Amino acid sequence: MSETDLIDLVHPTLDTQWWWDALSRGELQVPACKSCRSRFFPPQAFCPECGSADVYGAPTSGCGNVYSWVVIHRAFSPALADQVPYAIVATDMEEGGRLIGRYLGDLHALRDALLVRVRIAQRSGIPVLGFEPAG
Amino acid sequence: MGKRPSFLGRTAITGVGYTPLSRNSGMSVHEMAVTACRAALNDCGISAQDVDGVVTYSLLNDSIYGQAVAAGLGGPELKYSVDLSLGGQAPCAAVMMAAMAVDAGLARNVLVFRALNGRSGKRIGSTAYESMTSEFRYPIGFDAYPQYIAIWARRFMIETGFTARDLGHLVSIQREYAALNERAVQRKLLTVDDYLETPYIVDPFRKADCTIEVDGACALLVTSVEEARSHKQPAAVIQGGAWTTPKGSGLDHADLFRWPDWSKNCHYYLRDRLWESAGMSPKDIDFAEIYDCFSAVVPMTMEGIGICPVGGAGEFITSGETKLDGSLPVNTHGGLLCEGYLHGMNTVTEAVMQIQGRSGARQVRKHDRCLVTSAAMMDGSALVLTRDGV
Repeated sequence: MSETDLIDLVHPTLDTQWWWDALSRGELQVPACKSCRSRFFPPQAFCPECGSADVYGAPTSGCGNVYSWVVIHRAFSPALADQVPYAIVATDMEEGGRLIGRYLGDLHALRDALLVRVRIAQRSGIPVLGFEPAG
Repeated sequence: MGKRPSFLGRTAITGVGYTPLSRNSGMSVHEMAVTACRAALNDCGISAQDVDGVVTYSLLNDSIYGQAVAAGLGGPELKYSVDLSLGGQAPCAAVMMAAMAVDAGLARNVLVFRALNGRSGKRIGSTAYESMTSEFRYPIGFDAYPQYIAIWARRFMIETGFTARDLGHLVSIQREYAALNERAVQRKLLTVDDYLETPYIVDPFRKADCTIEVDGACALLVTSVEEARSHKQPAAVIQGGAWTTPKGSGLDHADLFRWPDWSKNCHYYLRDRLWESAGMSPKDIDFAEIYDCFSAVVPMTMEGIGICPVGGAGEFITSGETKLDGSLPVNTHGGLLCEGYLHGMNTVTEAVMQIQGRSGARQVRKHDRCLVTSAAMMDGSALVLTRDGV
């Protein structure tokens, strides 16, 4: 499977298109609920916390703390073979919500609660959610 | 306290059956499924015409329509049939569905099986597929099961102090069991030091932390306790059972985005119902067969389901308690890490044979009561099985 094939799996839906549109403009929005004020991911039609349909894209400072991470030493898709080792981080955003993205920093700096900020990268014409150390 | 589900204590597993496990079966999934089911029927000493129910599960269309087994058995009429689109969460739940059908009088003898060419055919761990969250996983390179479980394992290790060396002990102990299991595809012993010298695949996981994808099938038969007593093998009585899809479970099998605490999996959420349903507590069981697609799932499940206190699994494992001569043998077939990945169905069949006292060199001494689990992540199921008459 080539990188292009993997990107072919990106088919925004009626529930997610707005998030991709914002990301393409260089803007990260975090799905949020007007009713219970929770933030969540991925974007979906109803708030998974309270079931409300009053869901919108909230702005964010883009900063958060690393909750967990993995370092991938063996790529599962041949398309990613030349990118290893690379890391994936789960980031708890300072306004709430946990996002998962590509880590764009020194792998040795990775640690629990590392302060990171969002950086949107590009791969094969698709915006990619990334995080880099903010310190 | 809720009412005890009526099928518990009144239904049992008797026969089990397997095909050989291999890297290239040279058989269709249908042939393997029927072969394993026939072996299970021979094991209990009933005929194909006695079968009237089938329950199975599959992912990504990697198996057959369960009712195709009836055709392969020469056409017993089915009165009950379930095809679940689930993975490792399913085996214990599938047994429960079979048992409920038996107890409700919908069927008498229900086969439960899993069949797949998991190595030569579709490899679930790394197959790219479209789902409700694929658009968020693939572009960032978060694209395979070892990664999804490893990112939980990291948080589990941060929260509990479980170490890489502790993982090494767990793997090493499961290899000792596998050396006693002629069915296991990985039977080489591995010391903790040698484990620690092997490279990472997905840090914190090394190759030995990952299950081995295989081609194969296994099956078991569920019936009433009364009926079971006329079968060739002793009854493994279904005493407890529970399923959970807790709040925070997401949109698909790989949607871990909203799960609140990655140091806990589903077994933390089902444990009270499970033990209550069995009328037991974790200290009552003699051994445990714990779903282990990846090594770290074992301590996470042990702590979640109440076998060890939070932060206690490392010491429990390194002190030898889970070995064959320990206080609570765990994963006596070597686990999915060593026997091979029949998606956890073989975790249940191992439990059944141990309860029945026919596990040969790896037979646990006391085999009255056991725990079996299915699942690594958000949703899942578990059973408590007991020897008939205890």
